[in-house]
Amino acid sequence: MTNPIADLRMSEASELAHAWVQWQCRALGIRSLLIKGPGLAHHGLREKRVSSDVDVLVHPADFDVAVHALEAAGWRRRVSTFAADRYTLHSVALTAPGWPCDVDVHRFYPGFLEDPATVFDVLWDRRDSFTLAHVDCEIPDRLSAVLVLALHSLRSRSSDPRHASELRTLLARVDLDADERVDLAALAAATGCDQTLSDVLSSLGIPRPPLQDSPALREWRLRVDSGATPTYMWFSLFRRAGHDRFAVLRHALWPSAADLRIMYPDLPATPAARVGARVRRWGRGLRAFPRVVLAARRTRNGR
Amino acid sequence: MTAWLRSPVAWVDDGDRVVIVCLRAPLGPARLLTGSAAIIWRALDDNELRSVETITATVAGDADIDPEHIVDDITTFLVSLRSDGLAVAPSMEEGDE
Repeated sequence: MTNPIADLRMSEASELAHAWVQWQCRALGIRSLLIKGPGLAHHGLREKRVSSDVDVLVHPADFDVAVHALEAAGWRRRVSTFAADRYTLHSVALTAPGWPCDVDVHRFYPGFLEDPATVFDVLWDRRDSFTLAHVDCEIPDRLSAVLVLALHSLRSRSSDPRHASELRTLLARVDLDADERVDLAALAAATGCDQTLSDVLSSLGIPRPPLQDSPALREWRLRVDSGATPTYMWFSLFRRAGHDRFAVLRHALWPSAADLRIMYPDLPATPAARVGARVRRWGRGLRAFPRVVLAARRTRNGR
Repeated sequence: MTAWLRSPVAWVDDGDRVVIVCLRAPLGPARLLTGSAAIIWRALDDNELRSVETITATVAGDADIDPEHIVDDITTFLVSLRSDGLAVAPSMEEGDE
């Protein structure tokens, strides 16, 4: 008999889980694309590194079927906080016993402002493939991957320097010829990221399109300009909470013990430690608040 | 003689150890192969049936051992791979029906 492994390394788990997830989707007749992760290194857009998540994009109409199938196969939804439950609408994070990596199933990718079904079809029609863990896997083609990585870098927390570094690396590595610039501009327009990525595309030699303002674009700019901090997230939740605003404010100021356990797994399980953690959050929130307000003001004024 | 090939699996190999997961749902535990087990695994193919003789000759060549001394162990190991869903022997599957 072979032995179940006791010390599955993240590098092994990540590669195996990418291949496994895509195989399951294919077996169900679900089109899926492995976004970010090893596909980016395959295209030479960033250094090869171990991904702790499997990011898989499916057609929005297939999202529930894909998630239910993975749940039936042994994956469980990761327990998330009050805020993450309400803010993270684009994906679901799944975990499995014995597997150190998460699987994030995406119904759309933030920053692509076109209809999610249209975006998926555009990306799917241009897909590429490569072999991972001895399994053929489908990924966005190189230009699509440029857009995905740029969106990912821009929308991530500005406090993590890795994302800014990845964007700089991306811009340094991507050298487009005239045909590719035309192709990338058309792809960005078709997927609705020509506005969200206008600075990045301009750096790649693509002329900026005329500004087409929309609520989705304003929300994107607010997120990017505010540094995607937790304070921004609460601000955004509060603005769209409607009658639920009191609950949002209460959780923002006084997160539950369960939320604190998720946010700070090493926090001692004592009332004093929890109060201390909440007070420290106020400090961070207050320091980040002016940037969010300024970003909101700039966004409202159309910059 | 029975011929073998790998089941649909994902597997990684860093040269010291092979880690495998069966692609058929549900998600099972990843399996670890090291030493001679990893060598036998590498001697199998994803698509092409290989006889025990061929597999034994490959392993014996890699390990510099007399094939006659290892053929029984290799056969036993291949059967265990089949039990774990990691390898198939079509002639044995037919015999099962």
